[in-house]
Formats: sequence, C-alpha cells, structure tokens
Amino acid sequence: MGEAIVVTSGKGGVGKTTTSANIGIALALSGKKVCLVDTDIGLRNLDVVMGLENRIIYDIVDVVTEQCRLEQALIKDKRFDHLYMLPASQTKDKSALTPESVKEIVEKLKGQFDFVLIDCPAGIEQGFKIAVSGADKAIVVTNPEAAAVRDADRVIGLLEAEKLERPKLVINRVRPHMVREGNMLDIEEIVAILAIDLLGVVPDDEGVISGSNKGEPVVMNPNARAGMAYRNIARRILGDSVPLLVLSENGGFLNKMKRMIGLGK
Amino acid sequence: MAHQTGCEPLRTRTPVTIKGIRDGLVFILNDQCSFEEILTDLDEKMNGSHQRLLLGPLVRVTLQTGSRKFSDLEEAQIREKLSGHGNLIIQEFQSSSVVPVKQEPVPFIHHGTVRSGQVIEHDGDVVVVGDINPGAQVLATGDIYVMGTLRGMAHAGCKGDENAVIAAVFFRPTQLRIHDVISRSPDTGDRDLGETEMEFAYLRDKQMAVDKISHLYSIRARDFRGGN
Repeated sequence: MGEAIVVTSGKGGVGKTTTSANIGIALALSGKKVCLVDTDIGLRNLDVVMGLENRIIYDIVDVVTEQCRLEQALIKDKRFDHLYMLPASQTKDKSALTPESVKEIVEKLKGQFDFVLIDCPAGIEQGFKIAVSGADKAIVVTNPEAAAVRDADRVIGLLEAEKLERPKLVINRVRPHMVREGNMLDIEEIVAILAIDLLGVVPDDEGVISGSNKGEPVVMNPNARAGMAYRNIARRILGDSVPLLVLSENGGFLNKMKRMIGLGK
Repeated sequence: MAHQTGCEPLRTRTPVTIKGIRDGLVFILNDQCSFEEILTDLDEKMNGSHQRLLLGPLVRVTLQTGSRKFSDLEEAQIREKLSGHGNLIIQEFQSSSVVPVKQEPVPFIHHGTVRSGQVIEHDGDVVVVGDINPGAQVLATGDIYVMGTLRGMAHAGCKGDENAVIAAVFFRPTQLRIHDVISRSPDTGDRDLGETEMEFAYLRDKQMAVDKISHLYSIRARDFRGGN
C-alpha cells in the first residue's frame, strides 16, 4: 500500500505543479512507482510541465463519471516506466468531483503505486478540500515572501484540522543573494513562523522555467542546482537524511579560494 | 434587581404569609409577587390583621424570600417596616435561590501555533503555548499570555476590562487591542528580535504601553490601590 501526498500552498504561482512534477520524477528516478494526480480542474498544467499533454485521452472527471476505467485514464510517462499521471479535466464541469469520489480514486491508486502525489489547485475552497480528501501527508510549498508565507500558514492550519500527518515544508524560489541582502525573508524566519519541518529549499533557477516549457522538469538535469534540491527532497521523503544545499551561488572551489585571498565578494 | 410589574390578577396566594414556629415567627414573602405588593401587604398585616400577634414578648423573625434574593436596599426597607414593632427581632433572610456567585472564569490554554485565519475567543484569560501568527486573532475578556512569539492580533479585556494585559515572550504584533484601545505596530521596519525578555502591554492613561514582564506585578498592584 503506497502513500498519498498532497502538494499544496494556498497562494497561486508559488510552484506547486513544478514541485509535484519534480518530486514525482525524482521518486521515480529512485525506482519507486509513482502516480501524479492533477486536481486543478479547468486550469490543468501538470501535463504541460511533464510534457505529456498530447497523450491525454481521458481525465479524472471521466473516471469519476464512469466514462472510462481508471487504468484507461492513466498516462504512462515517456521516460520512466514506473511513472504515471492522472490528468485533470480542462473543460468538463468540476462539480462532478467530490471529496469522496477523489478519495476513492486515490485509495485505488495507493494499491498500485508506492507514491501518489496530488497536485492541489490554489485557494482553500472546494478544490483544496477535494485534493486533500484522499491524502495521508501534505507538502506545503511557499516562497520567501510575506504573502506566500501567510497563505502557507493558513493552509497548514486547515491541514491540521483535516487530521493529516504533520505537513512538511518546501521553500521554493529562494534567491540567496536577496536573502543575504535582507530583501527576502530568510529560511530560518519562515520556518520559525510556520513551525513545521523543513523538507527542502529550492533555489530560484532559470533551468526550472526552461525545463517546464520543454516538458522536461529540471530534476532530470544533473547540473541544475534546483534539480539537485528536488532530488534531495525525494531522498528525504524516502527517509534518508540529507543536509540542506549550500545555497550561495559562488560556492565553487575557485570562488572559495578567491574569498580566502580577498579577491571575491 | 428588576421587579416584576405585578401579580397576575387571578393569583390567590397572598404576598406575605406569617407562621408561628417553635422559636419565633416565619414571614413567607411570596416570590411570585412584586416587592411593592409585599411591602403593602406587610404594612397591612403589621398594622391590621395580625397586630395582636405582634404585641408581647420579643419574637425572633425569619424571613423566607423563596427563590428570589433581595438586594441590600430591599432588605433595608423590610427591616424598616418591621422595626416599627419593637418586639420583632429579625434573625435572617432566607433565600432558596442558588446565590449567583460570580464564577471565576477558567483560563483557556491553547497548545500549538494559532495560524492565519484561526480565531480563539474565550471568556477569561487565554494562554497560548506556541505562537500567534500574522492573520490569527485571539480575543479574551481577561488577559492574554503568549509563550512564544506574538505576530498576529491580540485583544485582551474585549468586553470592557481596561486592566487586562497582553504578554508575550517575543512581541511583534500586527495589532494590539485592550478594551477599546487599538494600537498597531509601527510601519517602519521590524523591531530587533534580539531582546529576549518577556514583555507585556497594558493601558496607561488610556494609552497602550509596553513594559517588562517583571513590572506586571507592580502595575497590577498600583491599579488595585487606585481603587479600580
């Protein structure tokens, strides 16, 4: 029996979908059977980020309304044999989904997969409730800005009320130089406010955007720092203890030497 | 105490019933009748019908007031009526009513962080063992004590107690309210978190003031000496 993890944030645009896709792929890279579920009906884009848009025939609403079987709607990833996704519907009436029906689907998926990652829509209304209904655990994604942290706090409160296991935190889009200059909330402060365990910190990386556009999430790029961060997050989910990335951009050996002799910043 | 406006006309019970017991007299003051009616009836009985009873040796009198409790003023009025008769000694007023002892409100203790969008409301003091985050609200009729960082809104004495205080280990509130006084954090910059001494906010001359927690006791003592 696998476990279902919902990826949520409250605020939109902080990187829920990117995080879902990247963690999903990272888990698949570790040999786990993973299913990604997009519950953002009407604004689906997990398929775009995954580069699987052209393979969609059926979606989650078809499964709930019994237009097709669950197996028919699952899309196998083009790169990994153990990775599947269940797309959201872009056009159909989202009132077809209820917390109960989604929970039933997630339960079935848990029987076939090691991890079911549920990509949650923004907001805290019905869509949020539906996405959370089947989950055992939650990952809260936030950015180092006050509004995103405020919304994450709100969502954590709601998740606690749902009796989920203590949510874990991913801080996305961290720009180390801005944090250093005091123009961005620092990690410690965010963790102090939200008072939950930190699962990982993902640096702001242009590779994330280009990867999403090409349908090749950054986690597959062995050189990208953000990719490394997502792989570390996956390892932490699997129970390894991995130290946090050193986020400073000029962390290379040469720069260290320069700093030592007083040439670098 | 508000009086009832009068007995219903059909009521047959008399406002005042006088009974003799072994060691004196019992006046049963009907709790269904208004205080005025009782006074009138008492007058009548003292000076009319029962006058005979009241002459003679000293008599101990117990007044049973049923389920109602007379105020000091009302008791005084009744004493006055009876004191016209030298031989009556009022022993006590007995009331079967459960005396409405002012219940000491129980403090409410919240374990964990109060998060954005969450509200704690309590009649009495509130203790938060954790933080109050921005966007969260805590309302108490009494004091609020935060064993963590206060970043959200706290309203102490929210039903009119201006002696209420708000205390926190780290003070970074979005807004503080005590009774009807509202104060907000300064718009410029945050306060240095370096201070680790617990502080509390209180009202000094209707203005919000913040002081070290060790001064709470002396300020409380001063307020009470002040006769509040």
